[in-house]
Amino acid sequence: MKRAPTAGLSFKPQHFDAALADPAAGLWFEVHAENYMVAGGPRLAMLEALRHERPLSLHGVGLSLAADADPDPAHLARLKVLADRFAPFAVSEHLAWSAWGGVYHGDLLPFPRTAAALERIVRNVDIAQTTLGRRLLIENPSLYADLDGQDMDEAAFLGALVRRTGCGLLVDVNNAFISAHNLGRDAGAYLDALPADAIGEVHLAGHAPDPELGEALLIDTHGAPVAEPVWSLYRRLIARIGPRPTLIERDQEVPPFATLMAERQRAADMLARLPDAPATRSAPQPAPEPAPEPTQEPAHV
Amino acid sequence: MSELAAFEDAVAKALRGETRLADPRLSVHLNTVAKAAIDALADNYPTVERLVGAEWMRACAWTYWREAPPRDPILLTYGETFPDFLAAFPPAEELPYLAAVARLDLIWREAHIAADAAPLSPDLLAALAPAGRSAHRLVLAPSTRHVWLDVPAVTIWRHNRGPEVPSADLQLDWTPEGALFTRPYGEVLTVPIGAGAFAFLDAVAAGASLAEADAVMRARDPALDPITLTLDLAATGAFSGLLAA
Repeated sequence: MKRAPTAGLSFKPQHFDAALADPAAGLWFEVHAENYMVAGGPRLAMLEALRHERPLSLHGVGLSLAADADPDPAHLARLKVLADRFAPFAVSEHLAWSAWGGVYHGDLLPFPRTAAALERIVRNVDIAQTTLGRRLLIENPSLYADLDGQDMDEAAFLGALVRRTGCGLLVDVNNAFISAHNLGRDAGAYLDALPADAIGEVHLAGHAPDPELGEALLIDTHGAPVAEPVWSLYRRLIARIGPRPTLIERDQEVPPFATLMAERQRAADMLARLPDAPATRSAPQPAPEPAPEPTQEPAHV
Repeated sequence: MSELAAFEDAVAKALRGETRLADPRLSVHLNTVAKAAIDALADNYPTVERLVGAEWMRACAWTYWREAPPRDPILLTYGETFPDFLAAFPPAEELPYLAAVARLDLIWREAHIAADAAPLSPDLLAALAPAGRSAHRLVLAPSTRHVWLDVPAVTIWRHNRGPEVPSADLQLDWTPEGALFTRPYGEVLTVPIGAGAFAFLDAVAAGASLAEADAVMRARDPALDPITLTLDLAATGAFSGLLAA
């Protein structure tokens, strides 16, 4: 059942049986690469069985590409072992750093988007792509603060990274929404400015208000259904760029598989309603009339 | 140091609590970085968490994280020193078995993610004549772990490990206990073992011939029959090879 990926889900081991049995066309799964960097055992056996039935994407969180240091060769080698073994249709990482001075911080941390930072990240993406022998998709981050001393906006930074390294983009629409909300920007304009040809995958996820600051600061929790404004932005994005493998990303408060599949179906339906031909490469097409959306709310936990 | 490195160095120091964040808007990351480490430690030590409760575990994990942050993005292996930390953690003094239970959680996870290997067939061992024991040695499977603990932590661990709520009427003999972990066909098996079996496995792990391991075993437990013990251990999938000594 290896059809072209349409809408997919974050794979959770507790959903293994249901995931393997589900007949949905185009269903695919994404895993965090680091959770499978082990020597053997049931985790890898499970991923092997899943990969036999479904397209897979590897999503890394540990390369720390925006650190002012070369990517850890040992970690890169582990990622290559996984990518070579499981032949994912995409391998992605983040425009962020997480390791510094020998400590892994377990978060995707921001940096000032300067010309010097661009040079460093170009180098790091080059090293990673050369070692892996394949293109990486780089994901836009969730931002909580506008840092001082920045030379360029994020879309221009990502566009330059794409031109300089040949990498692709993983567009996380929820991250774009959160960053724009938190920093007082226009998420739609941001998404419109990303190079359509480079976008190889889309993420959709849920967020939550900061426990102390409330709605003024949205946190990227991956612990809730995709919010309506994020669905609207997604519709606008795929109307411009055409269909792309789209992930419903869930890491916290994981609901039953059927609940995630219902949310995934909404993305699959939106992809299926697009005109057959994606937008031309030379100029953005006018957005088609928005198709009517299902009236029910996305399933809640 | 470049501007980028200086920025990252300053943020990293603040995340470790060594300084304050120059930009308070980044304080969201203080919570997420701590949460990632605490969640990972709780995931890796589920029996400890079951015994002490989520609140105690999170407070303890926070203290541990301040002392021993993750060094590797593979958080599945975070907390290798947590059993030693617990052994010296004053609030855990009233729970003298807690560090040993943590060691069992750690060993279980090591066995869970170790390399695959086909278990040695007990038939191969059964065919070995007693005289052949000085000429052969056994190879432990990559997932095999054996441990000896001063407290009855194996009983406590097994009683609190499963998904079902443990019954309250656990009868304990306050004596040392041993355990063998193997993973012959996918899932990790836990087998309680005595002092003789532990000594035998220790000798095998050190590369001793079967005859040498037998002697070590007899010194600890003269009543054990070495051939029966070897076959019983082989049946758990503990071994992956039989080589010339």
